[in-house]
Amino acid sequence: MRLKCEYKTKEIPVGYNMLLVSLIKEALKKSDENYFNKLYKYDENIANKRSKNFTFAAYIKNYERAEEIFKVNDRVILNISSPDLEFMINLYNGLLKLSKFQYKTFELYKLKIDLIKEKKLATNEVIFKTLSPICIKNKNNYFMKIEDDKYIDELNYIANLVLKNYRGEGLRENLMFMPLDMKKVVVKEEIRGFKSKTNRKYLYVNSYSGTFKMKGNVKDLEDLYALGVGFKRNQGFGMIEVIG
Amino acid sequence: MKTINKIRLELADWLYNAGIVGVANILDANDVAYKRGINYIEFEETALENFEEKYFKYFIDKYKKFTSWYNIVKYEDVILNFKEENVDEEYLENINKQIDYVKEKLKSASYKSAYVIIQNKEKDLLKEEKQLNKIKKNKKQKVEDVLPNIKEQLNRMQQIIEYLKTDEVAKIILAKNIIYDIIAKFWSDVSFLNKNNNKKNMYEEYRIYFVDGTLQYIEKIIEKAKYKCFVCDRKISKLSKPVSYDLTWINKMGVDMSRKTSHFWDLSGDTFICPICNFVYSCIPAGFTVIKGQGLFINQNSSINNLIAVNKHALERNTTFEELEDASYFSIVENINQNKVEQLDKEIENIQIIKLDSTNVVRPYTFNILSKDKLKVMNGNKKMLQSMIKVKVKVGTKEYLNLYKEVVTRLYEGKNQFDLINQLFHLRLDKKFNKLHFIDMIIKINNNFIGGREKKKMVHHKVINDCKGFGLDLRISYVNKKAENKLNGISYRLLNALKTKNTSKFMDTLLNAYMYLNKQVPTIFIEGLKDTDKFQTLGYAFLLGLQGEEMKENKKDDIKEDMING
Ligand SMILES: [Zn+2]
Repeated sequence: MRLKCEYKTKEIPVGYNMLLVSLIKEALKKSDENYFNKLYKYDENIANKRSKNFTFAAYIKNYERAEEIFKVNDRVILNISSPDLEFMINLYNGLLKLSKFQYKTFELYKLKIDLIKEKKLATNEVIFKTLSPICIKNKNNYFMKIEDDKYIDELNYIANLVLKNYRGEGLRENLMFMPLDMKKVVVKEEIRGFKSKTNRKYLYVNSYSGTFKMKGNVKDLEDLYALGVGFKRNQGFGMIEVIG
Repeated sequence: MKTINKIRLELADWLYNAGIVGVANILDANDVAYKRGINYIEFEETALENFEEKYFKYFIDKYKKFTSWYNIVKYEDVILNFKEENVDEEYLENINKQIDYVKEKLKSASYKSAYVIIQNKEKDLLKEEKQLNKIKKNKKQKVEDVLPNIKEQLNRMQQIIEYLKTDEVAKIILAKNIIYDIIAKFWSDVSFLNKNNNKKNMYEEYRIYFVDGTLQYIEKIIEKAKYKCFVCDRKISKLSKPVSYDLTWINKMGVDMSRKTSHFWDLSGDTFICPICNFVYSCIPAGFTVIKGQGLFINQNSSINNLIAVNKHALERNTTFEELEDASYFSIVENINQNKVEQLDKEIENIQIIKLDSTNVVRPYTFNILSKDKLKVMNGNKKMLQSMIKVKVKVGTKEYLNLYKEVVTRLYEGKNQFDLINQLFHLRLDKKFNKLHFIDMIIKINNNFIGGREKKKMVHHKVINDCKGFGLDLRISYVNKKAENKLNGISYRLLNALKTKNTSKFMDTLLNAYMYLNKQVPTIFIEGLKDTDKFQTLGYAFLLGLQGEEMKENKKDDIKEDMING
């Protein structure tokens, strides 16, 4: 299931992913606090870092860059995908309630929510494009280059984990990944925890966006299409769309 | 003073039980007192006096309206109400059809063999038959032109009817009808069904073969006799008639009969029974109920009272076998004493349902088992099920769906009702069905059924009603938004998603529907996402609410109907 939620705002930070994560969490909390706690908290105050069954991507329509913010002339569009119907119902109900969202000094006003039709996958070989960039890390937490021989292994590793998390069953078949036209993107991400440890304001996430071909089991591809590909899917990475 | 012997018949296998019910039915129909124990009936030997009369009287009372005799005689109404001005082409055709029918019957082998027996020779029906002729009218003639002939033929028919109605003639011809239509479906070869006795008085033949032997036998049961009756263990002194009988004359019992749990025999002819059991077996046809060659006997043998009650049926001329079956299932449930719910488990036994299909020469009998579990569901939903009896749903130009039958069949077969619910919704969306409260009932019955098997799959009735309420709310919102025309499309999509048990398709449609209104989606559905049975129950309940408006419109009619059925 895919939702598209459009917002009016004057500006948005360049590293806007955290704002959007916060928006999603706020929406879930508004809809069903218990559900939110179940999803994001282990205990009262301990965060649940287990990967969640959704991915998202944002698109800013008509903007100008000014230092660390985008000036938005038109609107911000948030796309969220998940095969988890409980999540989506709660999210929708929450987003609906949240007509205004405040994050620091930024104010977002909801314009409308739509349901986006998902495409039906018919073959075991599909060409996708990224809606938000794909991020792959290795065991040492280093962002991987797409040229790296191990890139595809790590992609398989995380896909297996994500599927297992969602449906109890990991990958049915190994994934083949062929970049067609992928470009490196460095996403500037502001993280409070990170800042305090390193004394730097931003985390620079190396990731890739563009088009690629993926081959594998059809059901695996279907679920990954809905769940997203790679790491940091719940923070605005790895959302993909079928092309052609 | 002579002591009066008593005859006690104890329940055994289904076939014997059918015989006992037959005896009881015959005694009841003739107001003969007998004792009903828990598992036996007992009567004095005097009950067997004139038993042949009682025997045929029972069948005649029960089946008269199904006989050819009745078809001929009931035409008297038409004849007596004859008015010249009513005669037209159609009327004439109707008379001719009846004349054809009467002629065919009067010269049939069965009637011919009856004439020989009838003492009253006032009329020769074979001659009457020749004189009774169809009314001919050529193209130039008008109906009025043949009026004299019509009157003449109707008069002839009236004469025939009057003769057929005289006591003796009726008694013999009706007995012939009954023998052919009912009794011969169960046994053959002996007594009045022996070919050599075809032209003898069946009442006499019955008495000689079945009653006299029994009476003689009970006068002197020899306790030291060498042999034992295969069925009841009574002693028998000789392995030949009229002291003992074989079982070869009873029509094929089917494969199930060879099971060792059943009191059974190999039909080889070396199994011998006493005259009493022989007599009981002659009453099997009276234990069954037969409609157009199909018979039904329900072996609910928890007590004699139950056994007799569930097999008692008042038949109408147009009663179908299907209706008979429905009514029986219902009376089984009715007969479960539910004063003490905690005793339900003990009281309900598996029940055998035996059906006879006389057109099946090789295996005329089929057996079904009604299990405890199924009966419990039936019992728990008695009122709702009852209101469905006789509700027919048109599904094709001439095809009807008997709602009660559909629901009950699924319950008996241990299947859920979702396919039926889906079908009814389709009919509803195609505007061919509008009795929505029945869908409501079926959803609830089905939910009870599912819960009976697995408690956690059951949805609380309140939740079902809530779902219905949400459906209704959505409908009202669409109506208020003047978007009522979208509801059918939404309903169809939801229905298809439910049919394929596709939760994401269902939620997609639902989300879209609510999004259009800018409204929240009821989270009640989340519960249903975890189990397909629950999902369908909730989904259909929602869909039902979504059809809301008509539900209210029809309420008045429905109540009326329930009262008629109830
Ligand atoms: Zn016996």
